[in-house]
Amino acid sequence: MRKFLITLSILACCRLVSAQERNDFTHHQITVDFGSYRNRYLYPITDLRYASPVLKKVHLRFSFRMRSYGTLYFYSRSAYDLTPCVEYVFAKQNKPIYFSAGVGLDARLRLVHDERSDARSSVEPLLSLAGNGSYKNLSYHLPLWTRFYVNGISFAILPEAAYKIKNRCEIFLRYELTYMSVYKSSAHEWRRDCFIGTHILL
Amino acid sequence: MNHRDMVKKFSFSNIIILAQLSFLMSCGKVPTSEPNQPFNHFVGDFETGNLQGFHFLVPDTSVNTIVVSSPSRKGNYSLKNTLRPDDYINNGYRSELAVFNCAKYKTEVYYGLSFMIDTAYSDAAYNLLCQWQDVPNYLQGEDWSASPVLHGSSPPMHLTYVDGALQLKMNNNPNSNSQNFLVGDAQPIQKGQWYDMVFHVFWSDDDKAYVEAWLNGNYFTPFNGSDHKFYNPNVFSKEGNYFKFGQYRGKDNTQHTNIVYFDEVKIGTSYVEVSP
Repeated sequence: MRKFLITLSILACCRLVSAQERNDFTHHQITVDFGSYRNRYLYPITDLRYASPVLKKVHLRFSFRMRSYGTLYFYSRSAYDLTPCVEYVFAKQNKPIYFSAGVGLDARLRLVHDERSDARSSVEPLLSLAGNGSYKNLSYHLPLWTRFYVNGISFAILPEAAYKIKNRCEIFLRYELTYMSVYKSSAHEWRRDCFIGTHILL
Repeated sequence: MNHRDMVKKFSFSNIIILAQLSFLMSCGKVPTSEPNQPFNHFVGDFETGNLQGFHFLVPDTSVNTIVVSSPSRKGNYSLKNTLRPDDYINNGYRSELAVFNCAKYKTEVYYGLSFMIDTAYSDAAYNLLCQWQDVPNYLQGEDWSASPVLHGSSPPMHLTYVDGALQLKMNNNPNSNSQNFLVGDAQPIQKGQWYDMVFHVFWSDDDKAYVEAWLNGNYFTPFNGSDHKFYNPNVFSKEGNYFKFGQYRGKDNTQHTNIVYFDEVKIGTSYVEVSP
């Protein structure tokens, strides 16, 4: 009897969830994407990201992205970027347009121990401002990330357009345009990356 | 406010300050290369009798790269570089020595080397005698062992011996190994004779980049109306290039074993510093 009631309640929950419109306000989201055509050449990069639903009382969403360099198989022996982030969402539910703002960390792990490399592991603070929205089966995100370094600053705009192919699944394209600037020497660089991937709502 | 609250508030503020401090201390530098970074000056005249200072891109150092006393361009020793038909390593048929940290973004560098094609050299197909190849952008997460390897291309600049002539070639496309173009004219050279090459390069990804080259003291790059600098971007990324010399034939192996002698390989900041 007890097992039956548990099974019944699980089924009821599943039915309730499936009856709702699935969106990233109400559901956990797993994202997998692959890139990249980087500046002028191909270089394999993968992203694996988790984002929580928006917490109703505090309007906060937590996310964590792991970027692996030099691989299309997630496991890299050379470099990772780990990016935890917490965002305040300026909306109570999914709308055609809404905004969010957040803070996070960008931890760059550089694992190559090579005398030819100057790259070092470090952690930078990150500010995020984003416009988001959806229309029918399309959704879009337009985050602007600002990273602060000891000798400079970088701005990255990450426009993403997604198309819902199933109730739980979207495919998307994302372009990342990063501007990096060094204060003292006035050196700067533009970097471009392109990604294709999928959002899965749980 | 009681004692407990005060302790709690004090601890909380301390934690915040510590977190901020550790946050600031752990910040790194912007992941981009700055211009005018110092580079490694280099002298590879083989007079020590060994190959210290070089990085090896050869299957067998005891066969491919041997220091010999004859012939030599200057001093007592030179390098005998041998490429056999089956010498395949690092995705190509090659026998090369490399020098790193000598072709950085927006630096002006002189390179000098002397070479002699062995009299028994018998292949007419291309053979890169020296080249400046791009390096992974370490700062932005890249390294040599990307999987799959998607980025394979001809180097931004190389000196080729082909069909009895010497060619300076460049490549602007980091995704192509078939879009090389010739800088100036090919110049016929003789086997069994020493030739001195000097290159003057400004490494950049814009139109300010140039190469100026001399063969036996005469300009090898064409006259542009005011000087002999050939202006063309010569780095694929701001990480810059590295220098290597020897013999490289890509995926096309040789029919015979070929020998090229090298001497007076130098890297510096003036013509005088690097010429033999």
